Amino acid sequence: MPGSREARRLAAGVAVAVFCVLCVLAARGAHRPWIPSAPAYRQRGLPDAKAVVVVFSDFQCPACATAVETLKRLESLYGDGLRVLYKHRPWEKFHPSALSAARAAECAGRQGKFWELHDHLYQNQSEWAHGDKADEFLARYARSIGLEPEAYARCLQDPAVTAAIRADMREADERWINSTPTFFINGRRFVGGRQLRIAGTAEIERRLGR
Amino acid sequence: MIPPPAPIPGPSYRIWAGVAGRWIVGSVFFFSGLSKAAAPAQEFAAVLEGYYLLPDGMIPFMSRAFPWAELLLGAYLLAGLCTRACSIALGAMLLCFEGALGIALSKGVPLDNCGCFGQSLHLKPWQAMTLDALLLALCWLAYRGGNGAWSLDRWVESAGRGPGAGGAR
Repeated sequence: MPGSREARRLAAGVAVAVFCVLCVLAARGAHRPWIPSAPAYRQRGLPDAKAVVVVFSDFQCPACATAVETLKRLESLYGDGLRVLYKHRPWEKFHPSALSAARAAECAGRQGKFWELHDHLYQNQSEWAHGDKADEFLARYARSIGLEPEAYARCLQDPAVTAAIRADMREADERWINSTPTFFINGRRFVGGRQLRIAGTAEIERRLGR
Repeated sequence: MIPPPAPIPGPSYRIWAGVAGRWIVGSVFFFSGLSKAAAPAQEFAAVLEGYYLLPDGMIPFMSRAFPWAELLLGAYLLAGLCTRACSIALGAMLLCFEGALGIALSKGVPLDNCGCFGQSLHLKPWQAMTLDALLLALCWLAYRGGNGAWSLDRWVESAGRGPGAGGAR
């Protein structure tokens, strides 16, 4: 056992610091390799694009609606160099209509119109996201983009649709996604539209060799 | 010649209040630092960005360093090592939090969640300010009497006194 006060203080200090590092490592857990995937209707861009952007988003989250514009600007700027994959992360606790919106988007996707409804939901978020008439608005949007009503209604009742969304949510939890929107550009994380706009743009340019 | 008076031990309630203060403040900071240090740094960076207080260049460094500072200071306080220095440092941090929340609220910055505990616990700004005020008071108690019972400081100070001189209880 160390004798002097300084030696004891140093030993105790190092022991506490090591304990903290071990706690953080244990909390982080083992990082499993992650190959992001999404159904084809939730992907945009060429399969061999050099920059792959995976978006975890919630249709009812205001920050996500703002970030959509940033992402669109990047897509128009970098064109074929960019591929976008959409993953659902509805925060049911804070956004009670987010899961319904995600289901509607999935059903639009089954009819090949995921991105149309995606854009519609974010553009009109202030209309449907507040109040208790979200389902009415969602049905109206589905009609307005020309979804086949019977197939759409059947799809909303399909448990596989909710299961697909829940699978994305589990994936988000495993990737430690604490807020939306969260973007991964070739595996590197950017949280929020601001990080995407500043550091994300630099990352895309680096990937594209510009 | 009059001999100097023998030191009068503090009342026991002060010591136990100090230990309680040390454990509560230490646990809160340890938990808060751990939940942020274990999460990706970009998560906390996004929280800091939301306050609009720090220059952009400082955010990446702060988002990595700050959770570790909270974690280590919390752990040291919990263990009772360098108790007084840790109490002062954590008290100063709490004052900074109060200031940051106050400035953000006065500027009308929309903060749904203070971001104090990562994803583990969501507090509204007024809840965070109340908690910080309470912790500040407990920091004072920890400063006054936290290095007494059940502290590593006591074990450190007992070095060289020989057996029976008193160690960590």
